[in-house]
Amino acid sequence: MIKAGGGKIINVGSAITKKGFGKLVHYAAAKGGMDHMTQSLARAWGKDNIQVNAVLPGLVHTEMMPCFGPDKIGPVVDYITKKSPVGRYGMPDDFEGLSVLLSSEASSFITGSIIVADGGMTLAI
Amino acid sequence: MNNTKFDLTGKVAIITGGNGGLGLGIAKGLAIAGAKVAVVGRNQEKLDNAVKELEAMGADALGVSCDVGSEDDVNRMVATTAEHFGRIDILFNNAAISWGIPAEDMTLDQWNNFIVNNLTSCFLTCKAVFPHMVEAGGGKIINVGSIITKLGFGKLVHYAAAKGGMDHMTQSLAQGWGKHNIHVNALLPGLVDTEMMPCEGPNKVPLVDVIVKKTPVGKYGVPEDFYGISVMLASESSDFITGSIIVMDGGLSLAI
Repeated sequence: MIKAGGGKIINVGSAITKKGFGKLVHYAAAKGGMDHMTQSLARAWGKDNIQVNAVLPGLVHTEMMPCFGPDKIGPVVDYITKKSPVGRYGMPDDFEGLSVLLSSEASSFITGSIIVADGGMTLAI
Repeated sequence: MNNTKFDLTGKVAIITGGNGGLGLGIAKGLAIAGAKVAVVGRNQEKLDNAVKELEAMGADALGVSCDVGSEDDVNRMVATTAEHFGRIDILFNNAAISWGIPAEDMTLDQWNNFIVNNLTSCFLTCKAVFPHMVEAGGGKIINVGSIITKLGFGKLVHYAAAKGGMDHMTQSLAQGWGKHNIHVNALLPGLVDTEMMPCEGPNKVPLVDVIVKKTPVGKYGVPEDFYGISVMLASESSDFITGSIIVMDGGLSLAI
């Protein structure tokens, strides 16, 4: 990135760092580390024109977290969908816009930001 | 950004404080993506100039004079916009006033004036656009706050309180209006070169050099920096983003 004159790093964390899950202490700790690594890397590498941001997805349908079909992760999907202000889980293509923004010149004044993209899920109780 | 997810063709946006500075920058960004824009402000001459600048870019623009602290005025502004363009899809609450007064020296009238213009105005505009967004099948509200809510400034207690209220209003509106397909997010700018905070020239804010030196990106922002995120938050590309508070300060709030 220094050779290229600058760069864009996007750390994909998790909305878990805004909440608590008793069986995911390890995951929360790792993702929490990532959030704060993002902030300190942003500060350190700003002078090299490298912008570092984090995106924190909520529930997104992927192989790791199937939200429909035979491998659906279970009632938690319906529960979260019901609680979520947008009333649905995310799909990978929901992240196209944000990814382009954070990878392009359009975000040259954004660094060290931790952006929740969860359909409002973390606002619910 | 020639991705169809960023396309705002046929959409109508209201930008309060859109007659200059960051608000006009936001309006230009939305216009480039195809939106029709209503810029709102108190100063008629600035409004006329803003509309001229937008029209020169080929935008369909309307200037609406309004005191955003007045309920009657806000309702009239929203009705005028809806009548002119036929719908309302996007609202940027960007109007704000700010100058330093230590809390111990501030009168209640001064305090109330800051709260009305910086916070109550946001409630009034959101309430007024709500039925239009429901009618349009959904909407996008972007509250332009300030990174002051991540910091502390002893002479801006009133501004910080208003902007803090705005952040939390954003989260609860997002939760309340999600079922109507209305997404509500906040954008927190750091130092941006505008008339309110000149970063160059004779009226340059004294703090500029200190802030730039502290900022990881090593510069202050300019209104054009906000084109991309404004379009993202106003378009389909943010349909899974609501209640988010997005810092956009070149990393300034990370520094000590």
